[in-house]
Amino acid sequence: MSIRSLLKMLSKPAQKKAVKRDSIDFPGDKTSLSNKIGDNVEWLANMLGNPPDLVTREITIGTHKVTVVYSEALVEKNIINNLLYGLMIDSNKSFIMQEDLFNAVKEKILNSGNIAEVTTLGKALEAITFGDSVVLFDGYTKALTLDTKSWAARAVEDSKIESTLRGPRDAFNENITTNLALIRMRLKDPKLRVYRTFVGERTNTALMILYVEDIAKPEIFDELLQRIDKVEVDGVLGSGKLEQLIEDNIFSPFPQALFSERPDKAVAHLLEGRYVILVDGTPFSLIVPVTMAQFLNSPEDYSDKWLTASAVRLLRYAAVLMSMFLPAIYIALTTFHYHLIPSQLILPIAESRAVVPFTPFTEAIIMELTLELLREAAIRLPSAVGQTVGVVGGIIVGNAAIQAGLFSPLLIIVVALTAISTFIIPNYNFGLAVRFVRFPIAIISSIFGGFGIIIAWIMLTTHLVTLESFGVPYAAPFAPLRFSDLKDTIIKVHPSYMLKRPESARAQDKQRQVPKREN
Amino acid sequence: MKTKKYAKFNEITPLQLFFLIFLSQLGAGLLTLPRDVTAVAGQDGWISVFLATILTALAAAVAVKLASRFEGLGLIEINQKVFGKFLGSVLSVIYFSYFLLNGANLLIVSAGLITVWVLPGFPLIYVRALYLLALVYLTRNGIKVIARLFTLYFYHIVPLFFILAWPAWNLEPRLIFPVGTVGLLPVLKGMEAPLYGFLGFETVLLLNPFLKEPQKSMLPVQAATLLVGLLYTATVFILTGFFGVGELQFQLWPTIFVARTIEVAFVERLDIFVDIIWVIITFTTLAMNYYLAALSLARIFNQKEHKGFILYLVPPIYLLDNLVYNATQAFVFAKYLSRTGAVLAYILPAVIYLISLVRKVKGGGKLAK
Repeated sequence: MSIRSLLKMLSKPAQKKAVKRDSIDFPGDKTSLSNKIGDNVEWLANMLGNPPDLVTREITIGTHKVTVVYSEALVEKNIINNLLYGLMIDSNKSFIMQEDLFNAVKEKILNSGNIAEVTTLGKALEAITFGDSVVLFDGYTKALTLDTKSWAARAVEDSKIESTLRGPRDAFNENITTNLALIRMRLKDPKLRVYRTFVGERTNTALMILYVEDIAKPEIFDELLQRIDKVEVDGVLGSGKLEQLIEDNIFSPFPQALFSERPDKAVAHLLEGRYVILVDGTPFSLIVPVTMAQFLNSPEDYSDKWLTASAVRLLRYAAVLMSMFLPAIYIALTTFHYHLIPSQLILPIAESRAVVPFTPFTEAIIMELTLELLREAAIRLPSAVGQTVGVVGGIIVGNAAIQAGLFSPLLIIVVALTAISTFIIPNYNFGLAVRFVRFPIAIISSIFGGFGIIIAWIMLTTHLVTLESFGVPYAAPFAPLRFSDLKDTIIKVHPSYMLKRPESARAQDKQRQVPKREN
Repeated sequence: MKTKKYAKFNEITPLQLFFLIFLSQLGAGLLTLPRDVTAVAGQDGWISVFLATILTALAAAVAVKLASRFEGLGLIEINQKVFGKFLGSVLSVIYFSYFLLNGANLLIVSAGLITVWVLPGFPLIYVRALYLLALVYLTRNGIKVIARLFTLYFYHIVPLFFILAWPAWNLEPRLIFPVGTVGLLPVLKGMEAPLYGFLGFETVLLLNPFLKEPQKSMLPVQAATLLVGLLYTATVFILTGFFGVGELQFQLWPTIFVARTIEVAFVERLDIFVDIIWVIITFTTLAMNYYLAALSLARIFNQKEHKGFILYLVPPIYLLDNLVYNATQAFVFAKYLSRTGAVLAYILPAVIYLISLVRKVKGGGKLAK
């Protein structure tokens, strides 16, 4: 998009060439370790600013001095104690005296699985900031790093915002390794590929791109990597920020990547040939590329019988349309096209509207805004108080507004219907977009009536077909029409008929299951 | 855009070509056709429509033949190749002016009908401005997005079939039968109105460079023509049998009136769906004209990108609409435009094809992309 590139040009004088970052640039990456142990320790302490949690433990093995450096906040005490115990108990063994100390310690003493040799100060520094321990040897220009991490993390808990009745309950947490484990547990395919990289100049947030090699289309991976490489911010604290930095169209309210806290959903999308991005410190995975129809799918649908699941799907599509257009239709009908209202209905409506001092548009906008206020308040408050908001909003405000004759009861019904419709949308971000869009539609309908609604529909659909998520049309499989993908949109057919992977995932291996033989 | 690298930009599949041709052909004529045809051809009006369908299928075949002879080239380039630089440009300008004027005229007619039908007494300039806003928003994205949108709008036509199915069960046989009492001449004369309703198949000539599989364009174009023909014929047949020729002459919009006779449960006004469909249909025709005008202008100036020309066309169309003529003039003008369009769509492609055969001009290949 031209405006986007213009903005980029304005905000960045010189574009840095994108480089693949599979490790982090640290100061001192080029400086090799000194063979004097004191210099190394001093450099490390100075670089970190002598923090209180930096521990340097000196021990003597035979005649050599060895120092273990680590950050107390990031390590597991038991592992460290074990490590020190090993070093000390074996320090007088005879083999130590005869051999090269460094190799002896590395090969015969340290009982950690994840052990690495480093030769530069930068790497040692990196290890400490990641929670590893560095073992420095006097007289050697190399050091050992050991995995001693123990980052504070929640246990795997119930899924909070995407709860289902029948599906699995567990959800991602903030630890990227746990999240990877939750996915690997479910998908034992050796073709599952995990690509790790880092984003954020200062936070150095780990990021993993997961895909199944022989299903997912490689071009999308290249594109994804290119976009991630271009991200040059100081910190990425959540997948939401990353999502915005890599999406196709930044001027659209509609989300162009699917977020999910459910590992089963992530695996389902991996199996369709999509890419899953895990960001360290976020309990949400990002799924790309996506189409609009996916935002209206719930994991529940795949556990339910196809017939009932299809009925629920139908309800959801109706809910999206209703929450976008119902206020606008109310405004258009009561302002411009009252002759369209059936004669049995027009009298009660006119009666209820007769006492209302506002125009339908003002009335609708005030009530819709009140609803948004209540919803925001309910989200921000702790759940115990949140119920009070419901009572105050629903009963007191709604009832009082009608009793006072400020709003017509029909409007309250319309507003309540739109509110409930948006709650049906399974994806929060998509629901937000729908909630946002209904205001411009209401405004245009207040000026142009039914014609305005049709033009709004035309422009909305135009916008939706313009959008693309990593080269995949957003409105697929409806437009462009992909007939075989329709089986998992408004209706969901029986699983045994889902023979092919969706075309909109651009899978290489299109066959999902072998057709059953009839006998 | 970042995805440009591997997203094949601006290529349309045969299926998308079908939707494009279908919706550019299907015009607002659907609403008035039953009256216009039966005024000339009486109760045999549907035969006129049927004959017009066949004639259009032939003309569309010629257009597709011409397009596939110059694979990868648009009408503007074909003109230049066949007639030389000067004469070809003149012809291209004629086509461009037709698309522009037809677009401007359609805008007047549609906006005028909105202010009569949907928003009585509403200032015309705002309705036109809103139409133009939606048009620019759509057409600047190019043919791929237009094709996707038309795909979506194809589903919008579906309620029309249900609405037509209602009177189809309540036909009065004596209003149609016996067939062929009117005579041959009125039937042939009656073909004029439906022929104008089929304008839009010539679009394939301009969309030629965008086709993904140029060899496969015959089937979608013919299918679109036949489906439009079926819809037109069925509408005329059913409405003649439902209302009768005499009554049809007094109805401004027979297709809307037939929807009004339907009452299901508490829904009294099914014609609202016809109204919506009508706006969508005119919008698609309008969008196609607008896009083709910008595209042909861009090609005349040898530009690949039509985007800038979309914006250049806004002031002339808007000024033309607001200063030069009003709705009454527009209806008169529409007649002349339709005749010009018929020449440009039915006769000229055949002429170009013959000349190219005689002069043995061929080609294009994939170069023009």
